[in-house]
Amino acid sequence: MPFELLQITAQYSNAVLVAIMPYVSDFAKKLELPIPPPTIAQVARFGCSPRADHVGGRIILTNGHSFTFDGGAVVLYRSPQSYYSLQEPERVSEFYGPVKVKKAKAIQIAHQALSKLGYTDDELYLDRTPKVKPPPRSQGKRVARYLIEWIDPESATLGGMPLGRVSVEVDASTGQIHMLGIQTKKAQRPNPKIDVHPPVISGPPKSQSVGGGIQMHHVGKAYEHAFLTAILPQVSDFIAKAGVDIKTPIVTNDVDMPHYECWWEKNEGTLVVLYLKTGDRFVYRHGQVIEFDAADAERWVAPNSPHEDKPPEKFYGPVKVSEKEALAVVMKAIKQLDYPTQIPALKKRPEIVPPRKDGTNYFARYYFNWWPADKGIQIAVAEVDATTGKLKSLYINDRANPQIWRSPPKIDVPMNPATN
Amino acid sequence: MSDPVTITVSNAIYYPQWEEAVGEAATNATFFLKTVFADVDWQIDIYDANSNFLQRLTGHTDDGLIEADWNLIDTNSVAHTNADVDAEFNAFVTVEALAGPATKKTPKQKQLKNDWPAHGMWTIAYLDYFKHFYSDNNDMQGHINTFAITAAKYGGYLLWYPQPGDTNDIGQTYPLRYANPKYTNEVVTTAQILKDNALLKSMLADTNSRNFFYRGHGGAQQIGYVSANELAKVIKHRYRFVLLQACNTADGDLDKAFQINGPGEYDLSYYQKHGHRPATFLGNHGLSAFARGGAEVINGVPYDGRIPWQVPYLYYNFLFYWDADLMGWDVYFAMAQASLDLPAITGWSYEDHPGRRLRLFGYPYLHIDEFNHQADWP
Repeated sequence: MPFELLQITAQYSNAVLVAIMPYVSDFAKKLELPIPPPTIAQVARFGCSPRADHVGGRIILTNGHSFTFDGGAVVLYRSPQSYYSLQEPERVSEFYGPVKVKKAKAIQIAHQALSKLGYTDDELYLDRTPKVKPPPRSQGKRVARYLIEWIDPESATLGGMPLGRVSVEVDASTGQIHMLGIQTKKAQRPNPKIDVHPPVISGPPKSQSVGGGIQMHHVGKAYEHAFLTAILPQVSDFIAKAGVDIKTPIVTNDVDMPHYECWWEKNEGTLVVLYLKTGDRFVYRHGQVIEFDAADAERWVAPNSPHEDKPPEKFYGPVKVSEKEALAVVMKAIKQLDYPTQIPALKKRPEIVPPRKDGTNYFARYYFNWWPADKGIQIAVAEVDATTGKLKSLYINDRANPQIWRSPPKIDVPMNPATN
Repeated sequence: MSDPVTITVSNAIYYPQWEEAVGEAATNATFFLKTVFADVDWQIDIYDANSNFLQRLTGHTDDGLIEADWNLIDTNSVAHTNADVDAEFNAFVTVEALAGPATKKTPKQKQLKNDWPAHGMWTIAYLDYFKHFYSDNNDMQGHINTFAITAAKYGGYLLWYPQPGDTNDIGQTYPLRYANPKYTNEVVTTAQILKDNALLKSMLADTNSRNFFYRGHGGAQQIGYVSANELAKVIKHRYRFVLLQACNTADGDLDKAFQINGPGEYDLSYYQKHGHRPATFLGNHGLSAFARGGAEVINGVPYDGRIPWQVPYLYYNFLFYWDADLMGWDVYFAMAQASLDLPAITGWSYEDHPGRRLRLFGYPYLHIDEFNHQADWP
């Protein structure tokens, strides 16, 4: 989804304008706008979208009518007589007028306009009762405008701003439409084909660090190996207590040595990132395993890399495990690992993110998030396979919980950064 | 000096939509009140800050709604439009109910200086709280920079980003320094924080600054280390647009500190009535997540997790839709569509996704540069 940014050349801008103008003319015709059919000659200004994922832009005609094209259609139209687009308060009195159009009629006008544009009731939730803002009062008079809005019932937010919404401004005196906006993802149309390919200014994102961070140091091969040998019993103990489906005890031969990393820094202590040959991943810091990710966990991180989004299809499956059962798996693991006694917040019920529906599939993972008071980043996270009920990932945020820090095993081998 | 006023405290009169400020152009003061009585006469006696009687407004309400407009002229035909002389007014409302008159003192009405700049500027600031995370394309920094670049087109921006060789003896706002409790070895002193606070407040108190974007930690009564109360003390002018991307910023008094009084959304007629230019406040209701926790180590540098690309992209998208040079939507449409465009962040609940806790107060139809020039109002 992250976009490429295009360099807007005159050729590209013109090609986009030529491609979208028929849509604008068609829109004006279907809505019976009281203007001549829009043509390129009438374009006063065109702001071309520089984003490769949004072919379109905003056209303002010499008569002041404005059309925004995006997602394969005109998604926003504003006439100069749109009260809900008005930016000049001294013009409010121009909008005073008699209310001749009844509310039901105004709804019908808006609904018919959207149908003429080819939208189905289902796409824009038009079969639901719209929210109607009646003509507002201003200085004892009526602003002759209805604002009719259909809200996507599935897009309510905690903040109160519905995300999916269709708004139509109808003149309460004449029934004319002065503004129409379609805010949706459900009803997008194919983009028109543009044969001009402008240079890409910036490509898709590549993960990189935000700031400085703490540079840790290699400890020397001998110390690395000695440390690994010393902590493997702790890793095996973690596996047993967490109920993870990995055979124990773990021995050196089980470890993917080319990807074994051991680092040290005076304030951070010793940090180990360890992959088994099966792909399962463990991170060890402050004297304990702080993260486990099964090789098929969504939270799994590739060696020496940040977490990357994975194709959702990899995680599709039937939901056979209930929320209660999945939570029980996690609570049993963290209890066996004795974390709730050290981190009281883990005694509380976590935020539960159930398997989400992607079309007809289920993303078959439960997530359990324990958030701190400021919510910024989790105190602990767990991922459970909703099909098998297996614990796939467990992260205990040692940075946020210094009370759990323990001393790592003492190693009788000197650190020798010079050997690296 | 006038005679003392006798007050009968009454719950029969209330003011659910009280606007503290007199109209910006010093042309009128409005009173929007309600009474529990219908079909009653009312009167409003207006006094200056020294209790000198100025004017009486009278009328009748059939439905309990009292709407009155005072042109700031007293009974001696003297205009009280100079904010330096008449910084505030008091009023007493009386309704003549059958059971006897009920009187209530209204909150003060303050007269602000008419000092909107030729073109309102933008203060852009962020807290240095995300540097131990991974972010796709460094977009966590990039979207803040994009806000500044966009602001440069629409009035210019105020920020202080000390580059090598520059001083931060005066503090800095880009970023505001942050004493991360999880990294106690990174020393950020109280003195540094106080300097940054002072610099931020001085930028926000500058009457050229009429728009503000902030990203960082926050709460119902603070952004970063600055409280809503501190902001209210230094900001003596009204803001046009404020967006506080931090936890709980819509849950307290931060909107009022910028004199955009929530909650509620209003159309243009509301602002016309009150004489105030339309203004929009956006803040979060509740806690706002910004990163996925996890232990990640890259080339020997441990990170506390990854910031999903959707978090900064909310604002790339928002600016794309809002910018008049691009899609030209209003602020409400732009933000809702910006959020709608983003696919789900795996492992996060629906309400934690970017933009879904944002709450809008004021004018939902605001465009990026409208009402931002002195000449745009009234």
